Amino acid sequence: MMKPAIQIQNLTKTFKHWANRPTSIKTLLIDALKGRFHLGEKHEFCVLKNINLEIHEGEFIGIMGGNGAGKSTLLKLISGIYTPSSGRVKVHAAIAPLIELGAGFQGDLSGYENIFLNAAILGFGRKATRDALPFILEFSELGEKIEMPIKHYSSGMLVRLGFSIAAHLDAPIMLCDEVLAVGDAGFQEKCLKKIKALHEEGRTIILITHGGEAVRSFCKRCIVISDQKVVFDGAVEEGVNTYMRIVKK
Amino acid sequence: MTFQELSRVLQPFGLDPFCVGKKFLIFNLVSKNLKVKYRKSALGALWTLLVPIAMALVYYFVFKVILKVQLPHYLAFIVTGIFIWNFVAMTLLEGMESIVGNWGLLSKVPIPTQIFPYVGALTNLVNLAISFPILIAVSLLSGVPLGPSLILIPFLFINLFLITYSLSLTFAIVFVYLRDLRHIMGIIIQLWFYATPVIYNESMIPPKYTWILYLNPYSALIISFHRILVDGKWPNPSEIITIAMWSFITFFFSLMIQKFLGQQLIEKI
Repeated sequence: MMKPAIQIQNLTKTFKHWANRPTSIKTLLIDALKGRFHLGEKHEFCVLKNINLEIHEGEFIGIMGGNGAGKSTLLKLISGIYTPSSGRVKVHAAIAPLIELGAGFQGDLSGYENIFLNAAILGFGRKATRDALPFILEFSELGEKIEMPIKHYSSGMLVRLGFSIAAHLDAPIMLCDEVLAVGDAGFQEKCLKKIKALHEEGRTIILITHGGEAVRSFCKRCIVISDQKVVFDGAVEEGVNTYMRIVKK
Repeated sequence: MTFQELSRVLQPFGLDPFCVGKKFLIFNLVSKNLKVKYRKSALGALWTLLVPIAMALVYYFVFKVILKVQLPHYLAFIVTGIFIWNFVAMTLLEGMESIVGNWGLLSKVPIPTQIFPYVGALTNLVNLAISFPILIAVSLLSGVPLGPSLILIPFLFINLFLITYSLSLTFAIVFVYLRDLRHIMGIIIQLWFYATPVIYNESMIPPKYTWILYLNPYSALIISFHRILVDGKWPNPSEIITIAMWSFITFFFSLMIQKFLGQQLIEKI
């Protein structure tokens, strides 16, 4: 009996945008003097409508969809960056939101100091970070360069550090964007292998993907989002086909 | 009431102005700010002190030497006021832009928006605390009879922090909606400076207008700091009550702003 890790019930997310809203005190004053007071016209933009999903512990799920379909929005709703317009998101364990690697990285500080900063931003505590430290340092292959200010790092080095931190902090649920596994070919392979290993340890992994090798080799379940709904939820091969059909239309 | 007890009371209302449970993150962000400030240049650490000292010296020269203002221990008077006002002005201005300015991070990682004004106020408070010995030194050198009233300094600092943080959080939230506040705030802070008895003494104001002075949340605070660090005396109980009252008002106001304008800010930037 698989325990649910994330339960999404009747989730709807609508973004409100006020066109011609006064964005300055000057405009507000002018309006007030003229005796009218308006907040602009409301435009509503529904990204997700009545989504129902249950994700179980230990699953490895690939989320696919065209640009702007709502994949990132869904991840942000799960991780708590956005709040639902209606419906609920129930999360039963700690989440490592890896929507962007190296969030909060500060150029003037060394790689070492940034490990603590980034870990704290991702929601980890002092002890968890200290425990993970030797693994992070080893995996990043940065060696002595870890003491350098990261403004001197190449983009590849930044990715290696960012991914290293994300991969070794102990969170039962990981939300990632496939775009993360970058860097040179050698490191890409290392990243994907690490994600696979994390999954085998029992973590729940949700990966935003665009149908690459990663999905086919690792994911057991594929969810395709289109038109504010989940249009497919099942086996990977068919999911990828559905996705291809949608984007190529 | 400690900050912890206060936070527990606010929790059921969905308000978390002190970012409970985020100690490690707050510590890291404050250290990051301090490291960046102090490492950037050789004069980095000194600069935080040099600017207010230079300002104080200029005011001293203009008001004491040129205009021949007669106030005892004027150097200590000016230095105290300028250091405290510097904390206020910097926290309000930096704090106002701190939520919008960190939009990148806020849209990628789930952290409470109020953490940025909070960390900003804490960073500046640390800087003020570090420069506090200088205030004491200037007072002693000016011959101020510092006494047991110094024991009230922590109380004053706590209220200074509370009022300033509440205001900077309010501005930060309102700034999300009204961006031209950026241009206006500079002028407001300037005028506010003159509305606070920093370079002048409250006794220089005709008695029938003194109440106007107290419409400024910082007046009673600055006056109390002066009373302790420049006169070596105890502040008037009425000043203390005024300070506590302003702390309550500004804090409560910031809670209302948080509740009605400050929810789901990330979607509104």
